[in-house]
Amino acid sequence: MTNDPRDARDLSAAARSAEVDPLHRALKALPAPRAPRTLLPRVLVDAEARRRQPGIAPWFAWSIEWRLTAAAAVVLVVGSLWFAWPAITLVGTLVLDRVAGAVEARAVATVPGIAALAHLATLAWEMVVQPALGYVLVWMVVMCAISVAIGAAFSAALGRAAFGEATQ
Amino acid sequence: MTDLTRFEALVLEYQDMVFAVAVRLLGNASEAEDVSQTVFLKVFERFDEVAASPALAGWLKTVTTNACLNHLSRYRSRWRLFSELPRERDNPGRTESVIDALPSSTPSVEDEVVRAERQAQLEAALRALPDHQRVPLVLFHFEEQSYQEIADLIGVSLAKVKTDIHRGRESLRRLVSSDE
Repeated sequence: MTNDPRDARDLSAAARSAEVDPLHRALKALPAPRAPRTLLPRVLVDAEARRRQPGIAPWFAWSIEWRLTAAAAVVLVVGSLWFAWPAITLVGTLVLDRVAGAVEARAVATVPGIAALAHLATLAWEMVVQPALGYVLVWMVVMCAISVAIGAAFSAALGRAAFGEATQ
Repeated sequence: MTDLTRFEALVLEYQDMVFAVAVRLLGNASEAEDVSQTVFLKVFERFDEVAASPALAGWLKTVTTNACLNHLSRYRSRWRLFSELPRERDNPGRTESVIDALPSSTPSVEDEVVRAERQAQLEAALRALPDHQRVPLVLFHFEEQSYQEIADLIGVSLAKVKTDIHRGRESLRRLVSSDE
């Protein structure tokens, strides 16, 4: 073999055999390094501390059953919110209208001058806040869902970066 | 809950294998011990899932390899820079030979001692290789991975893997060839 790097290109897996490659033979004959005696105690101490540590393991470290259950729960919650949204907005509007009406009536009864202000607030509510309320709430739900998804993906990516496909 | 006794038995069984992979990839016993500890804690976290796996040894090797590469990637910029420069370390100029590691027909005690010394030299030379040569070389010769697998794993080009392995082999071969 020469110093030409093409030699390495030609070195196939078959060429690793002991008959062909004395270096491979010498390397494979090296005794495997032994773990230091300090490794086992270190691992056990850390494991014991980890076992006593309260808290929840990262999502990607859960068993597959728990991960599926958690994913199903998220889908259930989001789906429920999606289908129940008209009813939620209807109830919310009714409650808010009733509260606003009661406050307005009491205010009118005590301070007549407030009637105009209350009327103005009612107008502002009906024309500005109420139409946007649904969109704002939907936006908040979507952002929360995206945040959760990004967090899960980031955790998975971290795990994959550290431990590769072996964690699959 | 994880059974610590079972976990301890698992660590005892595989600690040499995990440490050997780590120390050869990292070239540093202290860092290899840290990485080995991390790997076993990963096992502990999912002990029930992995302990019964028949592919546990292969899984441990893969996890250890990835953990070592992740450890080395902290120095990736230095790794790349040095890989482009001619290094005196790439040509250590050692002329000592390492005896052939295959057992002779009737090895004497002296032969055994000499062989052990030269194996230690080769092991030291392997650990002294720069990261960018040692890692692909170890994956190629000890983990029996192909060039393409190594290139994919490390994230460098196939040509660079071949060149680095060649240069690493050249450095080590000087220790071996003069004894052939």
